[in-house]
Amino acid sequence: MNCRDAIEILDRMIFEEVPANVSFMQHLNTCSSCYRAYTDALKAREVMNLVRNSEPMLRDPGELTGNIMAAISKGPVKTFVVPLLLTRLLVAASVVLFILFGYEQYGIVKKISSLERQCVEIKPGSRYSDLLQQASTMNINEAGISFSELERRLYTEKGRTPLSALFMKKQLDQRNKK
Amino acid sequence: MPENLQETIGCIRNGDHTAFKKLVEMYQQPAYRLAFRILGNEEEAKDAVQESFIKIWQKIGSYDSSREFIPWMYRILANTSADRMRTIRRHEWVPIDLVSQKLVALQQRDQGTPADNHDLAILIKGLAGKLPETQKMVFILRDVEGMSSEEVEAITELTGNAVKSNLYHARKSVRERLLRILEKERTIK
Repeated sequence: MNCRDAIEILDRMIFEEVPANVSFMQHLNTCSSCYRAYTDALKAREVMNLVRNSEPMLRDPGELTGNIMAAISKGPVKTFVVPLLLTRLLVAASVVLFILFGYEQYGIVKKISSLERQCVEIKPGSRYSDLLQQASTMNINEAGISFSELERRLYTEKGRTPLSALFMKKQLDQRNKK
Repeated sequence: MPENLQETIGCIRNGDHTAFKKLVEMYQQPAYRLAFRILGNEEEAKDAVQESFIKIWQKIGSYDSSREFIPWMYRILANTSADRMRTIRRHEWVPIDLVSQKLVALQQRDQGTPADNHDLAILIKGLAGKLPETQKMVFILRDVEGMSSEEVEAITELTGNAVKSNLYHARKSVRERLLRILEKERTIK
């Protein structure tokens, strides 16, 4: 046995019972520093035993019991346990609602994005704005005009339906493809 | 679980105060011992025991009777003591000189004379007062209370490896403290 192994045994010895080991005792007989560590470990173990075996005294246990009983005497034991099936149903319902809500929100965001793209196209010099200029006597090359405002003005000017602007754009796109 | 304890718990579930008082009288001393060793303070330990038994009364309906009652009870006590430990000065520094003096006093008292609570508290704080919370809990349960690894796992809800790891580090710190205390003790004697 070497010193490293011996020290490992000594470290454990302080806190727990270690079975007798002949090679360990033989090493102690030959190594003075490990022997000194052994005597220290024995004293350390005595301190641990002292801590373990010293019972802290509970002064006036009757008073403690009385306090506990007074505290609990305010009412009967009430317990409510949520049935497991109900919990699972609630979780399943929450998941379904989350998915439906998420899907709906996705649809709305997609529509808004599409409308925003269309609004961007209504800018000075674009073919769409040129077409609308032809369709209306209004000068609608105004910076910052919204799509809904454009539709509203077209409706007012020519009595067309609000969808007319989209229809004209579609026609323009088809013409450009040809 | 002993039949008597099983019957007692059954009665407590039905709201029997007498049965609960019997449980308190049976276990308040070991509960106080554990709380004292964790907290190192008489009054805090008493408060922790009182709070724990009230929680046991309130939660007895949720106790799973297929599991051991004592680890369940000790888990409530350990958690309550740990909560209290956080609200008081957790890392109380105790000078080595003072710890060594108290050690000498405890060693020299007459056999049969109960240990002075204050001296014992100083000694325990001197050894384990500066350990992190989980290491301290594992050390107290395993090496001071003498519980098995399985019992420590049940009470702390740590895995076996976590218990081993925390115990290893706690023992390393405590060992160093012990050797320093013994070194100082030699100069006192």
